Amino acid sequence: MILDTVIKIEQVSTGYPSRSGNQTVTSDLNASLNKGELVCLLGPNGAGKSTLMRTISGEQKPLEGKVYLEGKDIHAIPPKDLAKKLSLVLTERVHAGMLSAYEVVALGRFPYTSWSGRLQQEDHRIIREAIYLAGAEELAHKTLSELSDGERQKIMVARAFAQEPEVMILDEVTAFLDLPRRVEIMRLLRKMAQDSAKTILLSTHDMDLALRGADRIWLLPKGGQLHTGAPEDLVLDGSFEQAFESEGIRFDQQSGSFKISSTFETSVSLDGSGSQALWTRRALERNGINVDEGAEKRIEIRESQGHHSWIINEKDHQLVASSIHELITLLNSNKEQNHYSNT
Amino acid sequence: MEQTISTPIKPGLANIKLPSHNRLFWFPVLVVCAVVVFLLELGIGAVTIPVEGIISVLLGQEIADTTWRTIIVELRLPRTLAAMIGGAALGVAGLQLQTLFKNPLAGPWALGLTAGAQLGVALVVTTAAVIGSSILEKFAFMSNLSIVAGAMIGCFVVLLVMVSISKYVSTITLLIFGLMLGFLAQGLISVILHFTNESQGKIYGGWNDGSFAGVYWEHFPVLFPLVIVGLIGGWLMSKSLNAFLLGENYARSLGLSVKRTRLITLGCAVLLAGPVTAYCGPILFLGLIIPHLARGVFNTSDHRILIPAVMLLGATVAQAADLFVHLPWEKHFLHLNAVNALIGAPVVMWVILKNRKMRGFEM
Repeated sequence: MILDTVIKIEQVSTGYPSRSGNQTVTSDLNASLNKGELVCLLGPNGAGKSTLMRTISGEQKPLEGKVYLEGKDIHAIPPKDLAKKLSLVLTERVHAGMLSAYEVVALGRFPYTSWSGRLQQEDHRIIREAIYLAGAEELAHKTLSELSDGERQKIMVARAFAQEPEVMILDEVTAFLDLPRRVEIMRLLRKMAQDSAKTILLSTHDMDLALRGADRIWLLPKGGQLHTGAPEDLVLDGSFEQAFESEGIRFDQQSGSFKISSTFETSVSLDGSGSQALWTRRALERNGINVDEGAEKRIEIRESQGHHSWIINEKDHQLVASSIHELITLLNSNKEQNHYSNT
Repeated sequence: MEQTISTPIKPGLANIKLPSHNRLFWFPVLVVCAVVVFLLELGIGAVTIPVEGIISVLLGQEIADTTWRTIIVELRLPRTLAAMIGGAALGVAGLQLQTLFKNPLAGPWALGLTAGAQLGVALVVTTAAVIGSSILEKFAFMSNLSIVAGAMIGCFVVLLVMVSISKYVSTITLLIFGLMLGFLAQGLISVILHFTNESQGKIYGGWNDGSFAGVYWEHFPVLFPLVIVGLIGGWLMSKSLNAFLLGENYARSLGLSVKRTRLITLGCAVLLAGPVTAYCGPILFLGLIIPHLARGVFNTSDHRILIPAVMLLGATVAQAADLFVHLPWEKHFLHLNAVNALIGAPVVMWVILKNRKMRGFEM
């Protein structure tokens, strides 16, 4: 299959030029964005995600290398033409006075309207389409100041869509939203990428959402190379673990998430299946207890009449817990007792 | 409830309401208001002139009482026209500054532009006194121009200062800075005026009070074209100013040249505020409150509606304020800026209380 490359970055070094030598943030980056794919840019803070985003969107020139949009150097495209190819959504909260959500989305037609800004029938159709796609029909006639943060970002995404770009670039747009709102925006972006063949690059801190929602991931470790690939590939080849290693947290391939505790004091074996086992394991690991098949202490999950119980089997006795919380409490008090008897 | 038949694929599209600009009916209402206040301005004063008399004079017909013609043509008409032009100009300048600085309390006066213009005028007046005003007086038109130039340069310099510091300070700080700049200018003006002669100083003192009554017919050939250019420029920039409402970063992403838009708009603001201050003296509050009144009346931030609305409202409110000043008061003489403060201060208070952005510290 031949992929349509929309954006290509070649040997790009980002940073800021200054009189006393250039301040390089990241160097020698290579990557591409293909038509209709949703790509998430992930990386620890300070890796240079924002600088890279600004460089790709044409706001900032690279120190070295080139960014190509449909084969043309993006920094040589006049702003008016670029606005028809590439649209932005930013982290910042927008205060648009008394503009209604509809009028804000309508500003997406800015590059297409004449000097007077008059909207044609076609413009209105595109604006409605964008509002509909964003599921923001109910918000259209409200003023922006009446909307919640999540609704506002939804409108800004609709506005970026109404700009009819090839590429949409979104910089940390979910940063101040709660989880349901973040999921909603992600779902919306997936829909835009799949149904309308928009190419979308989203920088985010939300690893979990990126792993689940992105077609591909650009992983930018601090001072390192840009790793690109399907989220699953990057997990399996250890790129994730490496990228976040220096941050003092551990990425776990098994669960696809970060580990809070990284050192284990004791081990138990776990006998059980399904979601009960999965969540028991998480609770154990959070409390510094490793799950290991060979361990002497065995925890068994039993089910009877829809109720679950956790049975702790030790050499000489058994303890029964009716919830994970109770299980953890029992294990912890057990640990302390052992501690006393040992001393 | 009305049943609508919609396509099965996109049922939601039909439900999207267009923003209703059904408040556009205010435009004819405002035009009527402006005309009524215009007639009252010409008719009311120490001598009351009936409407028929005003219309006859304006149409150049023969009338019995020739003093009416003198009063209207020589005194009231230039004053009224100055109020209309001044109100419209200061209002549009205020709107432009509020949008560019993203500051609801910005205005030619609050940002120190008025003070800059005053200082410019004071410098010109003093220079004229020092180098011998007789030369300038011989060419009345020249002195006319030099005062306007002085005011515009003063405005421009202050605006440059404000633009450069606005990147580093918060909304409120900028306003306080503007007010301090105003006090500084006033102080400098007092010192400068020491070097002028007594008669020039008196003239300046009268001008420094702010009034539309000091504008005569010979001033219009300079005032009018400059303000018209500023107003048309402002109107042409309304699409760009709408994009500015989203913030500079978004405006840039829409293909707008932020630098150029800023420069043209600020240039327009100088063309509007400078000449008006040169001829009418410092007019307080109008530039700040007219945009808020327009937003309130038309319920929108769309500059394509606001710019003409501000022109109409500005012309009407300035005339009304001037009319109030020139009502036949017997006991004492009312100052225009006192009347402006009576309308303006409550509006400013309302804006502060209403505006969430001004209340917090997050600016």
